[in-house]
Amino acid sequence: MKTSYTSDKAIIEALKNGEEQAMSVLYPQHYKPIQKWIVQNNGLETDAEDVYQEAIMVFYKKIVSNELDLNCKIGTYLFAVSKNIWLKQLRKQKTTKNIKINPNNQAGDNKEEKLQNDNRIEVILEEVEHLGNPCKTLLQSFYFKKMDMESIAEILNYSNGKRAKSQKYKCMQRLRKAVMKRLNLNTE
Amino acid sequence: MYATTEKSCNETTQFKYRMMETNYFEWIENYISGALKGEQLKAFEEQLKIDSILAERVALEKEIIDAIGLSGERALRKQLKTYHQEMQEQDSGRIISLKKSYYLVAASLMLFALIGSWFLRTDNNTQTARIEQQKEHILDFKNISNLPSSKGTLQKTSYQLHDSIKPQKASIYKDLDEKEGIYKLHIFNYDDCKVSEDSLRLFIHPPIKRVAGEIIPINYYTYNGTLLNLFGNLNIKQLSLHIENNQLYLLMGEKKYLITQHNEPNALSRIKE
Repeated sequence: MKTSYTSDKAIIEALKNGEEQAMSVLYPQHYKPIQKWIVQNNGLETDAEDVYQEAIMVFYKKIVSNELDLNCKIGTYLFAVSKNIWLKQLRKQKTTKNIKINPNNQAGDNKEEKLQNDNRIEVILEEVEHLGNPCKTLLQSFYFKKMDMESIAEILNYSNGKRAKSQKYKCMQRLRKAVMKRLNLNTE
Repeated sequence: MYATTEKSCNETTQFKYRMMETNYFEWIENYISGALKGEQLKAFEEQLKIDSILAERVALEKEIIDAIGLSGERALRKQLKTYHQEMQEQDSGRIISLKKSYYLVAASLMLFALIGSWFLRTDNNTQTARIEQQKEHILDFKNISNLPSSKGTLQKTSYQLHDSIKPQKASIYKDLDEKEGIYKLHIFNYDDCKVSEDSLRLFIHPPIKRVAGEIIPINYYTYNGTLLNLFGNLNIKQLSLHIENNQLYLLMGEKKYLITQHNEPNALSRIKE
């Protein structure tokens, strides 16, 4: 059964505290008007879905980074962000159509460097997956959801924040070791 | 402690030992997160300039933290897709329950039209050769102008319907079959540019990679007695319905499309009254 959140403030607080229920409540609340607007503006329903989810991500990241200064309703905010994303995409599509890209013009070195970096990140991502739970959840809660140790302890059933912190240290050590091994780096 | 035993060491080496004594990675993490301040930050930065291993560790730690963030982001995106699917399933359920009677009326009307057309057809020997080839189960819309208007009765609900999709120009659909991607063919009443509750909508969803001769499903939504008018506006000629193995098909020229009841909830969105 879904918990009901009576106000925007309650939803924001819950998201800040890592309550996943809050997102499942928030998500369907504001989609329809955004979908309608995007479809009316040369978009498909799949575009609407992508744009809306991107707007939700922006919203969420702002919340967890304490950067959200909301002086309107969540729905209004999400609509405005979605609108901006979609208009930007439309402009980009228009520009891409007008520019013929010559593949030889791209800087080869930069491309290779970027590829190497991407590969490294993919390797690390694989190792994060290999960590499994609770390590993965713990690290994601700390670094992505930016939750404090007390809240992490609560969701992962650790006795207190100190214990969660010590677990985090162990998980990070495991991850570092695995990553360094995969990347053939000196582990000493 | 190190100050007395390592007095001969230079400052940076002393700093390195101090880092080792406490927690090497905690220093790195504090540096990355911006938690190092004042003298500690200054000392760390000095050390970073001359210690390539430390620099390498800092770079790697940044990458690891970024990757954890990215992994969290991917997990959330995946979760959002699930919420979207759940939302669509719920809406779909609502549409079916709210519109059950309406669909029944629409289905009856379609059946009636089919039978009516059958009788009309037997009286008319001048129908095209193509339609004749489709044997007796064909309904030619050109001959159903007398189709009685029969509006479905909506159940009373706490919702009101509104059009979620703007009418498109017929020319948009000209090359529909040749293009890749997911398309929807919306057939509206162009007279008032409104999607009324009892208008007809057909949705074509060609798969991304088409196979020659493949039947494209069309999801039948709702309709009333204005079929002829609607198709006339779209300027689609030789449009006919065809029943085969208990399946309803729409024929457009030489092409045949399977018609099924529409099941995409977002096609007809709802707003609360």
